[in-house]
Amino acid sequence: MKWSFRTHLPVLALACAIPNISTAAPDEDERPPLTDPFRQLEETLPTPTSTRAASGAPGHRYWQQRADYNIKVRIDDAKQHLEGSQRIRYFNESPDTLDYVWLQLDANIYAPDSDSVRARSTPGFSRMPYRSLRRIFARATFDGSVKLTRVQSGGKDLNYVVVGTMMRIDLPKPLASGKRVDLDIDWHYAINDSDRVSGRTGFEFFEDDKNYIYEIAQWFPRMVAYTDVNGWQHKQFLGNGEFTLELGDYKVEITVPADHIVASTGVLKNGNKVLTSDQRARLSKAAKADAPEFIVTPEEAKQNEAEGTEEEKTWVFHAKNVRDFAFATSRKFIWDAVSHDVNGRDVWAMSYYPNEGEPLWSRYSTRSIEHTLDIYSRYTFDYPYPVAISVNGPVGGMEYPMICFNGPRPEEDGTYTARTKYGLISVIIHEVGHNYFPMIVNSDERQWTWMDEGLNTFLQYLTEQEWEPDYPSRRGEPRNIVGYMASENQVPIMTNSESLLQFGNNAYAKPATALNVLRETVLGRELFDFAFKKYARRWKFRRPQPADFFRTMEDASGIDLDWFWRGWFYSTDHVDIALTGIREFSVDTLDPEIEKARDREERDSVPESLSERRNEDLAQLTDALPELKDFYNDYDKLDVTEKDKKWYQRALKRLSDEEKELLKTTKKFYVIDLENVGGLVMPVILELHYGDGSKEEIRIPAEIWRRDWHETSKAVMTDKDLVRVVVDPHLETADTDLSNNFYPPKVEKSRFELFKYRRDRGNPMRDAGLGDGSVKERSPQEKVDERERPGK
Amino acid sequence: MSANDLGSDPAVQRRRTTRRRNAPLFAALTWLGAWCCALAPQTAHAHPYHVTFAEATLDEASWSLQIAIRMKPEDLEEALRRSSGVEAKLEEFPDRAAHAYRYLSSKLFFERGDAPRLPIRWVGMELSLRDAWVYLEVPLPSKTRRVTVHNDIFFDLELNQANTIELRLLSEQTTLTFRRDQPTAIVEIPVRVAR
Repeated sequence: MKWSFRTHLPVLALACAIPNISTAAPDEDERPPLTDPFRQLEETLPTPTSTRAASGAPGHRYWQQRADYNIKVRIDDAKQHLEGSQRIRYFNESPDTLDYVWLQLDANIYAPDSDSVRARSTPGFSRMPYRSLRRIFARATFDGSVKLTRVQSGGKDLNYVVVGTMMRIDLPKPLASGKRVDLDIDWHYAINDSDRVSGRTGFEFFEDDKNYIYEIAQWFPRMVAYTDVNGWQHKQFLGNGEFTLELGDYKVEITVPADHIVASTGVLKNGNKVLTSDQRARLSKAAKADAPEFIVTPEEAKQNEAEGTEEEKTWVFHAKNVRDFAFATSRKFIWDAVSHDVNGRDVWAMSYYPNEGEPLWSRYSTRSIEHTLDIYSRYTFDYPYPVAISVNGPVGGMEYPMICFNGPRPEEDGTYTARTKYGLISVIIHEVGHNYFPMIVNSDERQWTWMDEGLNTFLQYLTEQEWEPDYPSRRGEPRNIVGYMASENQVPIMTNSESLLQFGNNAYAKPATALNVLRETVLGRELFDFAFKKYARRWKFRRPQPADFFRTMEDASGIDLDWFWRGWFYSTDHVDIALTGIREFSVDTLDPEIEKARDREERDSVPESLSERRNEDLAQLTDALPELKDFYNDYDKLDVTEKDKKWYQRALKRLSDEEKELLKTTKKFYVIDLENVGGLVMPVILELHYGDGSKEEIRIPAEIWRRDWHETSKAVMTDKDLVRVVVDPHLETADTDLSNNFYPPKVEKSRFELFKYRRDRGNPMRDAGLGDGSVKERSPQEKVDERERPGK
Repeated sequence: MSANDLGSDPAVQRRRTTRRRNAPLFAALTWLGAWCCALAPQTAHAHPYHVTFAEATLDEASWSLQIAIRMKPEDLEEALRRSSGVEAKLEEFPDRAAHAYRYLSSKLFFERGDAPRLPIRWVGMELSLRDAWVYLEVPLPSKTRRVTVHNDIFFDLELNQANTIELRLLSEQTTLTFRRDQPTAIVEIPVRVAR
């Protein structure tokens, strides 16, 4: 560390003092193994093509496949079984001829020998709770895989091969570009009990009233994406990577017990057959209401639970331009709805939940949907679908087009903790938000989880922050991710979904934080918001790749961000910028009267050493023998001589008038030395405190590191004395070590020390003598020790 | 998928009003070991943040490891429910600190060869909407040169759990990561210099 020494600059060096001054770099061997963080990404990103432009926009020959579905499905409530029959109309919009097609059979993940089970690494524990054991046995015996009973086209059986969670169907004749084929498939499978075999779909059984809630997703044979980037997307469903599919139109007939209420992707087309006249009247009222209205009231849901029926009804839904279709059904559902205006367009915001969700759900669910549509639409595009639904059931949080499943419920007595309340609001914002990413901006979440989870978590943060002041967002703020950023054993964000370590921090929190940093610190809100919206609109109902995002953000902001993508998305470096020194410079006036006086002052300020102090009383030989003294005993090199004065006059004659003016400046120059300890280059934000009590903030672009990404310096010119410097004063860069961010150095307490300090401050009431003195607290281990004493 | 931090499986994040959880009956399953876990259900859907972070700093004055563990409140709540059989929210959990100490000290411990485990002192606990922090202290005998750290916190909840300790031993700093296939780490303790 080098702190605060003073150097006189010769007048002609003044110009060099203002820009950055790089200090001597350490030996190569001592440096962390960094490669140039500003190296352009061209060598890493795929070469632009006619389908994907260099600007990040869809190319002039962009294409994507299309699949329309006509499905009939029945839920057997007695056996918790699903049976379906469908016709897929598949349009080959690619320039290629296809001999076969691939379909996803995601329910095959519930085969006892699925790849998801077999590919799981072996754990090392030898004891487990009974409940876990029960689930393990259930998983080993339950078979929820798809049973195919018909695979045909034009009435003729087709050859097909099931490969794990995928199926190849050999076409009767090659499917040429621009042509279409109809595929007829019948299937059935057992629905998983989510309490024993959990997942993104399943049923929940309520023992008290013997009823079920079904949340049905990833349930029908779905066309695998065929793209200009990967061809067929051969990614087995292993559980983490969710899905990507083709966009298309759906007509779905859902047959369920007649007393069930069905919540579904799409628009209900036969409400006059499946809804009561009261329900239709309430919907009409809700269409004009300012607040959600009950379509099925809590009392009616209770009554439904108690009755049951053997009869069935078929609900018909149509959905346009969606990439998937999901639904939920139960006789336990309360249903509330309101028509919400999204920039002049009416959207039904609706929630379905059992009485067990009350009073939390009727208060917050539909309002959360409305709020999400407002904020997300502002940052991306207007919500294009007619419906947005939130359902409470067995799935903790999962998204599908127009509908999502969310888990939180209050306590049995209707109370709930703040954590449950904000947990519900946040999960609904998140899952409804997924309509934008990846349901509409159709990225491949089975390959790149961050492209939907990261972007969505970022928008979730923005949306939460507009719910109420100080909303307790868990992700988005840079300071909340420093623990993860500083840790080892990470993989870059740009890693396949199934290979991610620390899944949530990697694919949700880190990209969300990165985008927040990009918005607030690097680009600023105006540039970022324009570019982000441009990306969303360019790829609305299209299929972007990571490069399309990176390129669009640069293309629309006008800023080269390759260093940012490289650091945050392609590396596991972290931010740790250290303040390593402050050096003070002043202008050399050349005037010996001034400069020598300043030097003398500096010399005199050097403290007396211990020996010098103790030697003060020693008898000196020159006192006894003064003849030993000569010229040099009285000579002071800091005395101004005639020679000095003449030299000064000669020097002045050689200077221009402008240079003479510069000599008169009273400004001070400080050089602030910085070191990049973490490896991730970032803008440097400095807060400068001056002797007069004022302060200013300097924001230095990341490019300050472009010539030396290990060490750099920044010169500051001021009329005042610099007394204190803080790096990253607003904690906006996710700097992982704040102990090296201060001049003068400041000792940062550890979390442990901070806690002890707070705890040791004690109980203010007791300290004030307001207690009766009888309290003697036992420590937790004393309580445990006491219970576990022999004989207890 | 949800980013909502509401427990590690769907049963965690909702209040099951009609099903009773089983009491914390622990079955010894050494013979079942890897076979069972290979068949374990997918439980990664409710939230994807299956990590704990801890800072452990060697305090020179007391020659003890001062540990601050950050956890998701939902995970700690579920762990306490399962280990105690008590159905309660973490905020209202009866004898919360004692249950937390009992659970955590059985999951995070320090061993020296064949010697008994080093005692762990409870220092305190903080709870917020975002995080649960637990503070522990492990006095190190002054001649201890090497300890084995075992950390399988929440491995009983989540197959993909990973725990991280940022370890600061005087001037040395390192990250220890604990996974199901590697729940222990060996730490070399510096020599204590008399002052």
